[in-house]
Amino acid sequence: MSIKDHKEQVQQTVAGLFDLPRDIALNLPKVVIIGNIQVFVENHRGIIEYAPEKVRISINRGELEIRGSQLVLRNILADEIALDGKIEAVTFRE
Amino acid sequence: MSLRSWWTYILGYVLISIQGPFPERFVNMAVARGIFLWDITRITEDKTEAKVRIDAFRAMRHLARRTRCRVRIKSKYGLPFLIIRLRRRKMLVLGGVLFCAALYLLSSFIWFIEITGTEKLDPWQIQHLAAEIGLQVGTPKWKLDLPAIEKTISDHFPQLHYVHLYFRGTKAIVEVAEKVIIPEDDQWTPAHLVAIKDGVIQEILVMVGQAQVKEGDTVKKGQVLISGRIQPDPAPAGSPPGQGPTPLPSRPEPQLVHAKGIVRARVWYQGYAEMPLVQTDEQLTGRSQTGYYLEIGNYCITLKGPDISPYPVYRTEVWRWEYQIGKPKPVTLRLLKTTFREVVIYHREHSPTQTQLLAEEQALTQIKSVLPPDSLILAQRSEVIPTNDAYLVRVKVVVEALEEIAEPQPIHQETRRTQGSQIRRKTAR
Repeated sequence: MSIKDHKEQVQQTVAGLFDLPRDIALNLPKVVIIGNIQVFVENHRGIIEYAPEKVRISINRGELEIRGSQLVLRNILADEIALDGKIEAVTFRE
Repeated sequence: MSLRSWWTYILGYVLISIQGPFPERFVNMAVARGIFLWDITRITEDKTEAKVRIDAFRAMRHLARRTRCRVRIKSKYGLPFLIIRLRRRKMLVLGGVLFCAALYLLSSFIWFIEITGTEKLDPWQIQHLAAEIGLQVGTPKWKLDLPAIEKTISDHFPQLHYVHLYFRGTKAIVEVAEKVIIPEDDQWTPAHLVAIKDGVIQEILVMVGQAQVKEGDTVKKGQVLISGRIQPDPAPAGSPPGQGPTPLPSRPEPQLVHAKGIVRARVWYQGYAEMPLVQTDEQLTGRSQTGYYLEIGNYCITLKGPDISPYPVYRTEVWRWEYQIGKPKPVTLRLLKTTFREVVIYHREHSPTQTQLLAEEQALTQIKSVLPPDSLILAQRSEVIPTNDAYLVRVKVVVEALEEIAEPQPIHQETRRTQGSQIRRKTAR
């Protein structure tokens, strides 16, 4: 068990103890999927790749891959991304 | 549209096309610098489109150089661009402004006047008065003093109880309520009951007054049926001897009362009708044509449709609209819409019996139109009048009806006040 994993363990325990929202405590993205038409990502780290069939979004520790067709970046702000189109898959990668 | 998109529209935004191999880098850097991009779409491998507000566009040039992208404006949206475009088309703006001004100006005039709530009073009279004091079609609204007009109208027509004038758009509405005039209470004025028509008395019921006729009598119109003048009995009613004061002494003069009662009489009505054996009638065939015509003075121009009737036998239905131009020698402009409907004429022959029935029916209808609503038909008799003409049937119908024929008629005579009040007390019971 590395030190980093250990740190995360402590963070999770503290978050559970004080009933904090875990996306904030652990600096994780919040992903909201509306049907198969929109994916909304909060707390991202920028776009890695953008194509109409595949979008990769950098997140804390890894990336988020969204597959679909006719994908359009409806909104992009420093901490949130709204992605429209026909969503087929949302995958987390290390 | 959300508030943010409205704001974006007001500030103006552009659709840019980003040409370069890695638009992601460009987008990430733009976001990092606080440039808001939206509707990012990849068109081809090295071409991406996005929208950006014009105030952020300038900062992007620097970014483009660093990421080796070429940024071009594809199209412009929003208010600032609209203003630039409109500056080049001043007449269009002027037209729009003029339109709004005209709309506002025209809506501040009265174009319609409506008078509601009149019952007996002719609305035209109110309109006429209103026009005299300034309320007429074409008057600007701000010139009118509503309470003053209301007051003038209600002062001028004493039968109005309430006048309310208000505007609804370009329509001035005068709402009035008429006073309900309660008929003068003639319940106590001395009156006879007289016959309103000739008849034979069937039944008579006297409530107040003195009967002048009896059942079976033939009466003429205007004859007194129940008199309001009561002649006192010549002999006073026998009073029990030796007990209390004597009853009212009989008066020498007659008492006057408001006669009341029901008098039903048999009344005869006569109706007459004639009917030919062969009747000419017409029927619409269902075929019709409509033409539009414009008449200027004596000239007639066919706008659309047939010049003359396309059918040999027809009925027309005309809708017209007229307008006169020119003050000294007016020329009438007339727009006509004429519908020609084809008819066929046919003859219908009835047997003498049938014709007689039809004639009777017609005569009966004629009687019923004058019959009072509460009358009861007792008998009806019809009679064919012989004629020389073999193709004509003449019928006389006599109807016997039972109805009330009494009507109060005031007695014009001075009556002493004390006496009147005494009677009132008596009859009120």
